[in-house]
Amino acid sequence: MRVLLIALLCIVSHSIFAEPALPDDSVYHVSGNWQTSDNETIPLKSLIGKSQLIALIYTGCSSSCPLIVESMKRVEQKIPAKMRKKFGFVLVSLTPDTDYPKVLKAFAERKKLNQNWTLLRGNNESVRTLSNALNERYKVINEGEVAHSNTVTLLNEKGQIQIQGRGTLTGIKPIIEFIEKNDLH
Amino acid sequence: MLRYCIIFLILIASNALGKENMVNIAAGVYRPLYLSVDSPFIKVPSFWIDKYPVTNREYQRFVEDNPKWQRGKTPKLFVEENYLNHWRKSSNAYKPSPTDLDKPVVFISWYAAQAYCQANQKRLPTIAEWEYVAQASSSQKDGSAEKGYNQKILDWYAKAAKQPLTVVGQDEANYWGVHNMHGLIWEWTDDFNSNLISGESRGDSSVNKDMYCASGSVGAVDPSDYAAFMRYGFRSSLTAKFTLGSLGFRCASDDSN
Repeated sequence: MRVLLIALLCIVSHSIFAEPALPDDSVYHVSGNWQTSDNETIPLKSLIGKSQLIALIYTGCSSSCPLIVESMKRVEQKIPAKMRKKFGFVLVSLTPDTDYPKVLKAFAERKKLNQNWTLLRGNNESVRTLSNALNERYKVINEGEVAHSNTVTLLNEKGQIQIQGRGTLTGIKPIIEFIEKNDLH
Repeated sequence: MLRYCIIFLILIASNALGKENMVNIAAGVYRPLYLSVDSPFIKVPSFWIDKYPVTNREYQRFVEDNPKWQRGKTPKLFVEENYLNHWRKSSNAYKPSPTDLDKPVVFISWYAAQAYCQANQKRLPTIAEWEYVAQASSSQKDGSAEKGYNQKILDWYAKAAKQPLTVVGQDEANYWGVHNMHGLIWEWTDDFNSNLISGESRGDSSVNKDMYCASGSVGAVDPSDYAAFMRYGFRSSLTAKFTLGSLGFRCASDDSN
């Protein structure tokens, strides 16, 4: 009887807590545990529910990464304040060996990133997988230096790629236009 | 007592199993096709690599243990439609035909290859590791100076697409005891998506053929190594969900494990 009860409980709880099925082409199929700048561990699936603008960067990057962040901020500014809660902004570290949560936290503070931004640290395998899912290329040149494609990707609330642009002030324009055209803002 | 002995033996056997059909590759240097100014050679620390490409038989076992990777059940983020295209439906699952069991598994994406290696506590070899092993001839660590070595590889590149695949391990092993690095299939590497010709991040995220052709030939260290050049171009043309009839993989692992 007890076994039956437990089995029943399992079935019920499973149907209650089962996650909604992800679309086949959702980037959130990429597995792995990701640490946030607040040292929480989350799966990528937890980004479901908002459109997310996502880019791969690393905090030690002095040339293109600040530009990527600035261009993403530009997108954020284009979205009216009342709509901003439907959008998230995600930065994923390309150098997880050194970008510890507190390093990401300091980076977020330095760049004045608000609570709409999520900074993530995976491991080398999960980051490589995510880079592939986002059609990005990167190469670790030597310790602390990474050559990477300077891409910013807009994901819909289910993690499907909507449009990609370059992380520069002109390269980001197609993304802004996409948001305006599709009335996402 | 006998029972404990048997358990003990099984334990030893399963321990050794991790490195079964792998060989240890001593540390060395690999000369990449494209050099950055201040680091002409890439140091490759010692590591382990599979002697043979992963076979259909081995991959079938993985799929049985990991139903998520069954043909038809894998999210299309991870595989193209012709994933495991050569497997046939029998009863309710896709399986390789008996004659293919010991042939290398192909029609496999990077994600699938990575998942297989991880499930076996291994990983995909890096480009540097793969090329380092691939430059060995049957008698030398670096066969590139050997007469006819490059030509032999190129001869295969010229005809590979038309050749039916054979069982793995039919060829002469190279210096390290590794088989089929050339002449059977192309292989996935962990960081195949790291080919950024310009070496900086302003480039397009997609493969830019113009850029490749223009700057590629200028930056090549050894233009006579056309085989490496072809592999470089081939890797650049791939995206991780591609599943091709001539593309398979093998796994590697760190030396410390």
